[in-house]
Amino acid sequence: MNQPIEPDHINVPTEALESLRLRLTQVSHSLNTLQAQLHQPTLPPWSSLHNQFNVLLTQLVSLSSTITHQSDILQQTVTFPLPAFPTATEAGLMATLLRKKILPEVEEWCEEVKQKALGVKIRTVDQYGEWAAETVEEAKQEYEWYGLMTREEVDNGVKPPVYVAPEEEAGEGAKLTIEQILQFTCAGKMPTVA
Amino acid sequence: MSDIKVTLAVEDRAENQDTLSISEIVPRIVAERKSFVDVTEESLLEEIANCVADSADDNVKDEVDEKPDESPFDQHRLKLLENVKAAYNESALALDFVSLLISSVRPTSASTSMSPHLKTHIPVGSLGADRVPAPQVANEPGVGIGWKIESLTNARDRLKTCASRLRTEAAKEKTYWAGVASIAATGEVLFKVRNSDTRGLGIKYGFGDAGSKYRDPGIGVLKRSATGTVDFEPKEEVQKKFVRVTIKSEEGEVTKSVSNVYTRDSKPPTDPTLAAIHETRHALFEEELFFEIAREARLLTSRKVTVADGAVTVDLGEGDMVVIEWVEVPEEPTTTFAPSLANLFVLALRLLLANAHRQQLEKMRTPPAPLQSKGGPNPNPPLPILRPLLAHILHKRLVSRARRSLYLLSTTHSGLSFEITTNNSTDKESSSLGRLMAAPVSNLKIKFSDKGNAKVVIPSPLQSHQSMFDVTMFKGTSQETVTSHTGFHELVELEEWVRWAADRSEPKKSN
Repeated sequence: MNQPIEPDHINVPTEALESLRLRLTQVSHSLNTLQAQLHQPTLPPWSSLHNQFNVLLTQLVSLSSTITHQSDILQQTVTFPLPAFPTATEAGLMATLLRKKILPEVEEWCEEVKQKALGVKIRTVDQYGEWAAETVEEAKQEYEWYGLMTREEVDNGVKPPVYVAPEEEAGEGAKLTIEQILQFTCAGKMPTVA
Repeated sequence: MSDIKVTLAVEDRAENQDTLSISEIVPRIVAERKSFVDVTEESLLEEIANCVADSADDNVKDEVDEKPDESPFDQHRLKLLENVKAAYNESALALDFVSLLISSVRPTSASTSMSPHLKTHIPVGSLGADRVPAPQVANEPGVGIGWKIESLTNARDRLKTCASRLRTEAAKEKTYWAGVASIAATGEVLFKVRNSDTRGLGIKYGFGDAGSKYRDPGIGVLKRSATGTVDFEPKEEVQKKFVRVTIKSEEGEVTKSVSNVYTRDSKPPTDPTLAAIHETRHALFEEELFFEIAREARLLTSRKVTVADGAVTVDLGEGDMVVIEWVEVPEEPTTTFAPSLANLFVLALRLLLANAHRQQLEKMRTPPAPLQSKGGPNPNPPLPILRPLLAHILHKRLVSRARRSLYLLSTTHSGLSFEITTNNSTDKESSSLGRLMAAPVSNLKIKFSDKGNAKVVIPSPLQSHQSMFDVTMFKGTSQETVTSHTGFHELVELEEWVRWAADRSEPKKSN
């Protein structure tokens, strides 16, 4: 009777968990590196921090898509402690590990953004993409993207100011063409001022 | 979540339990427990030791520790650090959970990704899982949309701030460049400055291009002020002072006239930057003028010119003195020009400096002299500013004294007549300064009845290689036969000689 029952692990979603484990290792590693960098007395250059953060975001997206991909099997799986788990001594740790309820802060946070999303008609990513493209195009129409004048100035017919150097006002020497100058320097032919 | 303090200090938690509500304590404990995942034995021991140490000098440290960090940068950094830490805790916990679950199937590979704490406390393969048919949970899109909206709002706000900042920057740049263009249009020399410390537009307001070799080249920068206007900053501070001339008599007891004019615009430009540039330029001119006068004065010590108490004093003899000072510009400058002696004197000094500039410029344009291995002339001789003026003044005084004493002699000696001509010809057509540019020369002709006549050349008194009176004696009335040639250095000597010559040429009395 004391013979422990060998649990059946056939229903543990190993493959799904393995892919998750890989992603989680990456994310944890990146977070740890970032934390170490922030702890330094002199911060690394912002560009390096920014890159680190971008890497982290990519890994997070990858993790999130893995979860979505495996969501069917993960939702149907229920985890429970086996007799081997030292339930008596490590009850707290067990609760932490197996807890499924969202932390109150996170819950608040989610509620908050849900409130913000209430009046929004766009529901899917595709709709969002369409809307964004339209909006950007509309915004682009509002501006002139070339030249040195604002649209308002162009509409009012303002001419760009022309700066005239004091020397140029005299107008001497400008009457010679480049051919005349070359003729003078090469052949010594005195130019005749028109 | 970010503002939870993760600590193991029991006292801390106990004392806070009174002030925190249940909903605040629960997540806090959860957060604390989580930290177990990446807590090692050493860190625990260390923290406990710190707790003991803290409580020992609690009274002293409490105030200091609880002070919030004032610097906003550090606050942000701390907040970021807390967030990253919380995220790391979450991800480490998830990793531990997944690893533990896998460990029931693949104990060896799974244990590599478990935290040390978990490894020591929980045996591998102690979690199981089973598949329970559960209804599909509908995905809640609200959260994602909400986050997207939040991010979009943030992005929009940031873009707006950037755009408005750009707009004000553009407006400032426009004001700045309009100012620069207006300055450039007046013909000022602008150039690009690329130093390690200053970058931007430089302006040359000094007289270097006009031939000045003064140590301050007169370079400044045109900076953009906070409001976008052009700020003029000279590289070297120029004192707002001017050269003042005071003419005194009776051993300096009586002041005869004081100059009150100095280099300035009669109509200052309305643009404040342009006005500042002009003002600095004029101040630089005055500074150089005084510097050059002082440099020249050191050569003239033998001519009773002294430099003392920041003033150059010229003793003209007979109690007359000229004092040249460099003084602060008065608050309210005089608007009218009074043609007093001092004013004319100081004007002449300025004209002479400008003329010296021009001469230096011409010298710079000519090909340089061949290099000499040793003993060349002083490469930077003092400019002739004080000397021409002084030469003429001293010469004029000497000539008038000579005329006076000769007149007295002519009254006692019959047959003695004289004539003085001063060379006033302005044959130097190049100069608008008139005879000031030529050395003063006077010719004195003395007739001793019919027996002889003398020609006396009186050159510039500042020329030390020549005698003051160069006398040539001729026989008869013509200037053909030279009987003697001599030179005198004092008027008294000339007087003596004339008296002697006149005595000799006088017809002998019968007895």
